[in-house]
Amino acid sequence: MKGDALLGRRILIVDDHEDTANAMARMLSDHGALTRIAVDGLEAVQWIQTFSPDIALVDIVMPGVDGFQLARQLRAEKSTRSLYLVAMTSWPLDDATTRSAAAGFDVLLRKPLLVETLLSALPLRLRGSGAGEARAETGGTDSAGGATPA
Amino acid sequence: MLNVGAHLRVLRAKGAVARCRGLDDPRRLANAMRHLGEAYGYAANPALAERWCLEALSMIRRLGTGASLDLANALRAVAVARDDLGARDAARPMWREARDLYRALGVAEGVAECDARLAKDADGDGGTESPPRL
Repeated sequence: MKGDALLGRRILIVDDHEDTANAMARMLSDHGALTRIAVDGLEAVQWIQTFSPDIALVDIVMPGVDGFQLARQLRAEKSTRSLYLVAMTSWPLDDATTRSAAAGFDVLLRKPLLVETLLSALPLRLRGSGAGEARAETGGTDSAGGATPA
Repeated sequence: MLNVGAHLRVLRAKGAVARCRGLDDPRRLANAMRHLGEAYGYAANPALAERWCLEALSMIRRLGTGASLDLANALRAVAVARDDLGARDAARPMWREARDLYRALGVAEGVAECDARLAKDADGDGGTESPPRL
């Protein structure tokens, strides 16, 4: 299902698994978002400077600079301090919620990320005009995913 | 029409994923996620099938188990979902990689299925590349 729930939102996807990142970008684009993909922390920093995203979706388990380190760096910089940071993981990490909050993430979401899960985690100011109608591509909810405030 | 069997399969698979999220066993979780993706495929929802199978594939690659049946099965699941989506160009490398793994692991049925899918793909396209829908 397509929609405009994220119309005009600039979203950076940071995930070292390109196939996953591409699928996510396709889904978000279908809902009106403008997306860019970074496959590591360094590329993410470059895109943040040139693309100026509203939201960054960051996989916390990545080789090299992981999501926690990236979030700490972004929160330490004045220019990126207000970026809405979403941590994502599919790994069963006991301390993911605590660690992602400590690193500066706004929320932790389970992968694979679904549009309705993302929308429910975003503050109103970051939702598009069609947010209230969004049911994502599931035609309903998908309880195997989920959001945890970081 | 609602396919009750497929719907129940999705519900069971969702339950398994939810249970596995509470365990410290990424391999088991990855396989549960693949099963959920396959269930969505049976329920005629190839978009969700691809998302879950891709995530399972991502996890299995990160586990670094090398040439494993888990990896071959995850590649196959993504390939099936992509075929169902009509994204045959994106499915093809997955079928090839899965075939090579099944061959290395001595899984003749897996090799035969991958070969058949690749051959059908080549026949269907008349030897030309079709534009990907992804």
